[in-house]
Amino acid sequence: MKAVVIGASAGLGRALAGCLAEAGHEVMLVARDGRDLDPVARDLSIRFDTRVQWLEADLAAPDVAELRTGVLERMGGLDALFVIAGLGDDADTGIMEDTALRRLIDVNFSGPASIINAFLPDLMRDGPSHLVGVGSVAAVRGRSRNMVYGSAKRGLEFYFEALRHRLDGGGCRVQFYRAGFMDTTMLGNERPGPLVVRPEAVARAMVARLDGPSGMAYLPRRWLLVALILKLLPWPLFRRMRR
Amino acid sequence: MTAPARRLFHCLGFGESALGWRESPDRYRFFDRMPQGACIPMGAGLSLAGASFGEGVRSVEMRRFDRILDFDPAQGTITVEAGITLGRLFEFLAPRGWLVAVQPGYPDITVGGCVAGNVHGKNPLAHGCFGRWVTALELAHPAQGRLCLSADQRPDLLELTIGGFGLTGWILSVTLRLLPLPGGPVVTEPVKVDSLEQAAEILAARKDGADLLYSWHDLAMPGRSGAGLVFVGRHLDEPKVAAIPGRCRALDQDRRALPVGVMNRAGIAVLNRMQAWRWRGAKSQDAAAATFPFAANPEYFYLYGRNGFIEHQTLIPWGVTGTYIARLRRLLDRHSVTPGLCVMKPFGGEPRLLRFEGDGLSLAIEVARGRAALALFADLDALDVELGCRANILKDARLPAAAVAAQYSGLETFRSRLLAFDPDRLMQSSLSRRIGL
Repeated sequence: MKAVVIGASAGLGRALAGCLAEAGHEVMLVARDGRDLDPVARDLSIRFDTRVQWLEADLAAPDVAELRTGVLERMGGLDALFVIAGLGDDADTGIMEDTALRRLIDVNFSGPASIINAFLPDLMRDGPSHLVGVGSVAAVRGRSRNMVYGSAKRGLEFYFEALRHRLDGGGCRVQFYRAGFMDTTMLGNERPGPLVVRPEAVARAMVARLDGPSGMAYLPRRWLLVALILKLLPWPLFRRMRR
Repeated sequence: MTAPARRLFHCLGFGESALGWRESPDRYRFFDRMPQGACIPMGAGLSLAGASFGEGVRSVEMRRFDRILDFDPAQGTITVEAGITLGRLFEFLAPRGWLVAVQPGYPDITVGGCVAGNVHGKNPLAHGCFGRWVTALELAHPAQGRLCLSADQRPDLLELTIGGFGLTGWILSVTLRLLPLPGGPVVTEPVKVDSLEQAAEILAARKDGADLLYSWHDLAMPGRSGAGLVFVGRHLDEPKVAAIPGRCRALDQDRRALPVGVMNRAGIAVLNRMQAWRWRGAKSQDAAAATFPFAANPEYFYLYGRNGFIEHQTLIPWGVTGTYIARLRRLLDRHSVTPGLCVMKPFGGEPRLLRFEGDGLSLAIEVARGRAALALFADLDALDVELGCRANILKDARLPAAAVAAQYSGLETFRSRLLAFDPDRLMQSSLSRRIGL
């Protein structure tokens, strides 16, 4: 399989690229900074003896036509597109700089939507293909933290539902995951708490479920319960959950 | 965008603590920024002294930079990012028939930490210390940018960085020479000895190329003769691929499991009897178990209880080992302190700058922290100076500046070369401040 991973320089994207390379797939890593992508590509090619390449693209303003040409030229096509990138901001608690706010929306929604839109013709074809996106448990209910981040991820999730509707009946499987807390820089620099899992565990589950059902799921699965409680919590109680 | 987190750091054993800041970057652009205030690189954060943190200092964890950048099986070299752990590296190298020559006993230790501490392995006489196997490294310094160091490029700075306690900047990548890994198990034969002196004689005589060579002693018995075992280990070359390590259990240096330590004289005597029984005959271990003996039982460190422990490792010139051992015995009795661990290893290498290297016998003791232990260690400092011994700076969490100044003739050179490279001294730690750097 030829897989493109958007946001592959660190965290879940990097872990996912590792799982795909380990399974013998050809991988194209995409992220903002080649200085981070080059070591990932070298590491995976050396350890798993598979072809791993990289391309730079900034999700805040991606040149999607150029990215698509680059991918098609270097790989000669693609079978799977993984949109993993995400960006959080400590200041996302109400009043933040406009440029920072726009960057949150761009990296978490506009950029991914542009990229998916550009690659859609390549995924809508006769053979089987995969489109996988990652959202967050922060998008279950609007809270006073990660306000814009959660909204953008919720928007992305909505877009994935629309894509699933559009692509239903064809060969492309559309999967979306609400990922729980992982030990990545998204968590900040605090010590990982009890609910925090290694991104490798989530990545492995995503690869194992590639041929599973389309639609939305929680990873790790226990977040389903947490999210359910959060969703059912009546407002008088929910409003107290503020730090 | 993510602020560093406030955190109370401890070294392994709780010998040194400080309130600082913790940051765990995962992108190279982090090193483009000029940091505000003092900072220090952190590997696994498992050293026995406060080398990776300091009061008000930003500790920058390198663990997310853990990739293999280049591997040349023809030449037997590998280039890795500094945050890769010895365990992960072993997992990659062992099935391919290679081994990092010098490895401390715990697999979570990072390669960057091994370089900064110029650590030793299980036979420092034959294999030297970690720095001997480093052929090149990339360093990033906030004021100097990214620098490639090797025998041809800035060799002075390479020398300062190996065993430089992270004070020259962030080590980004390291190129290492490797040793071929024989396919068979490691067979270790324990030789029974009645005293420390007898072990010292055997260790001095065995200068052939055993892969493992060290001794272990029981100082809890009356008379403190130090009866124990000399371990001579050899890697057998059999046509079989070496096993990869079993599950490593995390060693949490912040954990204080037992409210009251059991490492008093009676407890230590019991543990020592168990240890002696475990080693009643020759043992065959796979390469992983022999390389990382501490991976399976991190609980050992918790036995010291809430107050933790401190370690003192001394490099004794061969001529005075007998005198040192006799004086140590008397000091243990005077202070009524029983070491939970006493290990000796023959050493080699060149004593440059602040490196714990040179010809001699190293003797390490680990004791429960407390007033008696501190008094004992202060007396050991004086003994070290008197007999021309040197203490391992990276292992002793309370080693005072005066002791370092008296024992290391390279201190002034180290200080002036560090100041010439970085006049603003951006990198600082509890350790560097304590020893007056």
